[in-house]
Amino acid sequence: MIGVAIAGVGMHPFGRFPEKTLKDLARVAVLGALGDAGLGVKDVDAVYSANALAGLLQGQEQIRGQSVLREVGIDRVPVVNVENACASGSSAVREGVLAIRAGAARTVLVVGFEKMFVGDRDRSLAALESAADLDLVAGLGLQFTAVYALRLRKALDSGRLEPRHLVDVTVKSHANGALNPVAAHREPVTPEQVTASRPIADPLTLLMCSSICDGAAACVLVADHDPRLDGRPRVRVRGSASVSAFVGESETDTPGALCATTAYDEAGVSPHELDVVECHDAMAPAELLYYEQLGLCQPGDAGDLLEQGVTALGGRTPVNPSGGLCSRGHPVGATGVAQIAELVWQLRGEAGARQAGRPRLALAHNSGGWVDGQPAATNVHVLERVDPWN
Amino acid sequence: MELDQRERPRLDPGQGRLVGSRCTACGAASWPGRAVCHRCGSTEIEAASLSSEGSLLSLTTVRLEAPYAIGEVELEPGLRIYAQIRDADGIATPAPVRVVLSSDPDAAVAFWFVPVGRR
Repeated sequence: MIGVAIAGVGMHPFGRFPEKTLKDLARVAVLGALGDAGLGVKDVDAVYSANALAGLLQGQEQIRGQSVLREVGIDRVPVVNVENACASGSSAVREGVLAIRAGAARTVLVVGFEKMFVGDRDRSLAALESAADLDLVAGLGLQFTAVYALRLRKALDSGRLEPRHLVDVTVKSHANGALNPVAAHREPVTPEQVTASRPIADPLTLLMCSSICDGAAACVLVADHDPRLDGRPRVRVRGSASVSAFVGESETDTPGALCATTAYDEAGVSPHELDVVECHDAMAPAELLYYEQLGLCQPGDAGDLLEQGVTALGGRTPVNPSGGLCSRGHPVGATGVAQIAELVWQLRGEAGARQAGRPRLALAHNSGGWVDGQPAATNVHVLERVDPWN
Repeated sequence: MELDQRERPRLDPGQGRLVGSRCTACGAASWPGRAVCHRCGSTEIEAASLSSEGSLLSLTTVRLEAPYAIGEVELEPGLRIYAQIRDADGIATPAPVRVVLSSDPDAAVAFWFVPVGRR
């Protein structure tokens, strides 16, 4: 099997950009990633394009990728439009990985873009709600926030987490976001501000939740022996796994755990070897639930892991050094690709003030939608810096 | 195998219960019902009137302009559903709840749960 490397990454900053179109957002990310790779648009021979909401929010259905790529002169080559709710981005990354592994393409561009600010918050929120099986939830008012709130409420009621853990992980998220020039939210917050912010769904408050966001991210995939990679630290995709929702046999039998285990097996890596992680903290405290699902700690130990500083910048395994979905922002279709961009920057040592030491192994976890109380789609990628740090 | 082309019912207004499916091979229950068992893959599925009472495992209040409560209810082992919870102020989980079907067939929220012993 052909190994896969990430030759370049790029992002349009996440945030609120009312004057910009989808094409503007995608253009900046695509040209940034190609420039980072030292390649031009005509080097691309396949594209996987991720977006979740443009059909509902902009009315652009069916050919979203082709519509934004026309702007940058990418034509003729296959363009596949990937939609998988909040996991659209990582789903596109995985398809790109498979294309390189199969030898079907030499240079794959993956781009994720989303524009959620449309001047009508209710319309954006309604679009997000369509990420559930409407047969099951239509009319219920069951939003993502409520699903996470129910899971966290259960963890609190059973004593697996304490309220302070939810607050502290949110403070960590915003502190990291404050160091990230492409983050949507770049203001540190205090525990008091988190607790006093508007209640959204008990136990979640406003500052714990990701918000409506615009943005784009892109990466370029090539074979890991490609000579065009020479001259800079090489980042390889060691594992790529994808699962759909299922009804688990126990509380710990989750899509997140299954996907992580599958990715670890493929990568030949165990979770305690990871040096940096980006996980799907659509609500900052969800990060605590994913510590357990990703095997970073034993069930029930997530609060301890946080309190020991293991997952903070400067700790053994920083989690969401970018600020994560909560603080970097969560423009749905772009998030999974932005996680890859962050980890490539981290593995190359280019993450500036939020650099997580000298990492060798990194993990990205992105999930989306939901069915039967679990994410409809989950993807996990394990990345590796091949070259030693000097 | 003859394909069943009927739309499966979800509610039994007469009995005031949810109607799902049960696998005759492994016993796994589902709501809404399924044509093929998610656990063992068997196609030997029968419609099943589900228990009218279950256990409320978790509860949250969504603080929109008109706040409402949503909960996770285990209707029987392995079968969890999400639904609105009413008249549950101050209740501690887990708690026994029972299903209530709306009397309005066009209601946006067709059913909800209330704590056993309340209303």
